[in-house]
Amino acid sequence: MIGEEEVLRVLRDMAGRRDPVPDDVLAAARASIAWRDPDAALAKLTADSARERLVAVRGGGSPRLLSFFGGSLTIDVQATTREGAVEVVGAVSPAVPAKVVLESPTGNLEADVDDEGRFRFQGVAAGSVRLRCEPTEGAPVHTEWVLL
Amino acid sequence: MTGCGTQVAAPRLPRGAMIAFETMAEPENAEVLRAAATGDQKAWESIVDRYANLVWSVARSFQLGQSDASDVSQATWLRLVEHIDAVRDADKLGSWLATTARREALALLRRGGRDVPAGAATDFAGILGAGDDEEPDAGVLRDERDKALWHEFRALSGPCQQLLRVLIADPPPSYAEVSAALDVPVGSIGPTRQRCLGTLRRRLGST
Repeated sequence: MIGEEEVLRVLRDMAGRRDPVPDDVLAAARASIAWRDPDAALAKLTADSARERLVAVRGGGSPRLLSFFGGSLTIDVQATTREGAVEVVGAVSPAVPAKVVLESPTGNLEADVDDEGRFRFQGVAAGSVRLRCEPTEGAPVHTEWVLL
Repeated sequence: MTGCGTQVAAPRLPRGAMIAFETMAEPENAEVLRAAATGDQKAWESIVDRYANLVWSVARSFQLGQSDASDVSQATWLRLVEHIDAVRDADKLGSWLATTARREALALLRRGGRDVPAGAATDFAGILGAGDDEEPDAGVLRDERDKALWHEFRALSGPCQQLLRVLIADPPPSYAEVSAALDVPVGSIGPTRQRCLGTLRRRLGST
């Protein structure tokens, strides 16, 4: 009978061959330090409808509601997934003139907020995203990363 | 209690390039973490190279497919970039990453509307494979023992398969990291490991 350590060693060897970290996953992890943003205040996730329900829908059309607060700004977001793409609508309050950048490792999208602080992004790829709010006057704020 | 294996990944950086993140507690680890926190790319890469397989293994231990496990991995690393200043103890970085990967995996499972593993742990297809029920190609398996081991691994209970999938991360995780990955007490890992491996070895011995 083979020993415990031997079994683990063979299983580890098999996992290394059968289920290695994919190259693109490793490359993305190595590149992720570029997302350091020490100059912007961090808006923390204060509410997430997906946390409140046991079974939520990813890709089922039911909107997910998220709220962030930080740097004296509140950012409310509604994310709706349809056929693999996400629509993100939101509002910054207080409503100040600002540019909002939706940042993601697959690419950034930009929008200006309207008079009521609202913004909208369509065709967002599912995955990790965060929002960077750049008020015309004042310091930038970025939200925590969320996996949509 | 520390590592339970002897294998350590060979350093992937060119010799002398810089100090790499070490498996065991080393004062240099704090230095590497501090350097990474200031945006030092090489220091960051040495952390990623040390723990990428652990993060991946934790995601896969929750039976996530390639695409979901990729999302969890990315979310975990981005979370570390976001909170790198808050990780004070470099020697607990692996546990921090394992905890974060577990939470991201569970959150994704909830959002996906799939069953959380604790409720449906009987079939862990995909932990070592691509999510299919087929055995790996004969050419991939090194020999008959591999094949038998694979077969018996797949016959283990869900919790055993999950524990073993994390334990066989490369380099081998410490029990503190396994505890963080699975949210179980450190003291339970040794006995569970022994029981799961005992079952596996008995079945292998009887075939």
